[in-house]
Amino acid sequence: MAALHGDPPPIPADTPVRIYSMEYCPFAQRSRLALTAKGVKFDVINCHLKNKPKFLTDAHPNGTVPVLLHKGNVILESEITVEYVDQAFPDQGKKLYPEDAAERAKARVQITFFGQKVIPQFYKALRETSDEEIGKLLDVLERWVEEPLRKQGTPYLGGQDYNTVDINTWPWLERLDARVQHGAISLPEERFPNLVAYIRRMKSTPGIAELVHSAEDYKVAFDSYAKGEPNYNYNSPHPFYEGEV
Amino acid sequence: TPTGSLAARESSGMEIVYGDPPPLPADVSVRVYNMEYCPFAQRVLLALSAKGIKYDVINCCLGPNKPQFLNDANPNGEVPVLLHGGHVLYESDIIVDYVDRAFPGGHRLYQDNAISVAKGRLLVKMFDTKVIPLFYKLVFYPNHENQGKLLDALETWIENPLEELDTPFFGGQDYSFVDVNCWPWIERIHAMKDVGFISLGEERFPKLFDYANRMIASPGISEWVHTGEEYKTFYDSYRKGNPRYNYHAKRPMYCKGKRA
Repeated sequence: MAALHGDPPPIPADTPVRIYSMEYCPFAQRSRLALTAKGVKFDVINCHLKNKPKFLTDAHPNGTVPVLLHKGNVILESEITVEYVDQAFPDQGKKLYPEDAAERAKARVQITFFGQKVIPQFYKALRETSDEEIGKLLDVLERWVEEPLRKQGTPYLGGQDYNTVDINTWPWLERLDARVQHGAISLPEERFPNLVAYIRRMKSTPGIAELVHSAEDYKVAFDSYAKGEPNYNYNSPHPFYEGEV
Repeated sequence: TPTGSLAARESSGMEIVYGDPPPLPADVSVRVYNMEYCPFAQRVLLALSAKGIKYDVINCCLGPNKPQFLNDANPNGEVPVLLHGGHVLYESDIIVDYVDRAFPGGHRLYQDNAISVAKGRLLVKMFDTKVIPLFYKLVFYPNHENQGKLLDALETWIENPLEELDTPFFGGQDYSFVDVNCWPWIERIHAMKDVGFISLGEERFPKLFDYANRMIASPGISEWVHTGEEYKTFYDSYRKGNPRYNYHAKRPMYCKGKRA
């Protein structure tokens, strides 16, 4: 689909939420997963992230996706959008956060630690595909994902069903799985029995599965990034906007 | 570091304690692992004060002499840590959230309003990422350029938002989680303006000055302030690599080492 310019059309009357997104952005995927989990109808406006459309930079001081628009409100920052969606649509879809105050705090700590310990190493291993960096990635995955899954003994990080912890961490695990399928990383089942099963389970879980991209899609996306010419909207069903040329 | 030099660092009368803290008194259900000058830990103390409940504060030495119980409680080995009802919680802003939910009486730190929470969280995140790092940059490299950068960030992320508020606090008529999460660094900057750390002028920051005075006068906030001299002494010692973690503290400090 060719890039569009100017502003997107108004949000349709029957659609409560619009998201400024990018097809392969894991942060924006958190928001889309949350909206899907709540059963909220939403409209996706994909954006070029080097030549950013003005409506994006107007909405966010950093000009980053995701941006959520709802009832005239503008909500920024992926983890904040997940919480917002859970609180703004309390009576529909899944409960994304535990009711119990301590469980809620622990869920948020898990998300924070994944963000501090795993996400940076994921990108490091993507850029510097050395055995050393990949080794470090496997170490943090073991500590911060495999171990919790093993200790909890539940199908999802959120328990019997997926919740905010799964939503906030899954995008990177999906990309990890693509890298495994590409043959770039090895995730041995003997070392990661729970993580391997979890990935398989998530890919077939309704609410998650609909947003999964194929390994082939990710190959095109990652390769294009590595070449410095990101193919932001490869194989995407959504309209794609860029700034004025 | 030999214990002798640790003892020498403390102001007279302040003990250093080794080993584990005593059990909580019967009428106290919350304990905080704190450091007298840690602004992240101060967030938690402020949240607890807002709720009007009794809580126990355990000051800790940080750095290589931190007590083992701190490392055992938190994988990052940092303060604050909150112990309550058998739970061990860390990450300051998450603890603030927990305190508001676990102790629903007293002063509410959150509104039951999704957009107000989201906007508040964004302000805190911007403050965390755009202001706080510049504060530490100025602590470690006190020069004119770094002063300027911190003042600019303060104007963008505090003075201007305060200008847009038509209420006395970020939380509205009373302080909320936004105020609690940002205040410790605003307090330090405001307190240290008179001791040469930073030229914070009232002409450029009229709203911030009003706000600081209002916060200092608020019950719950006022019990945890320090003077400019205290902060300057601490941050100078921190920069020089020999932090006076318990300077002028009213409670003993727990360190790693042999039982006395």
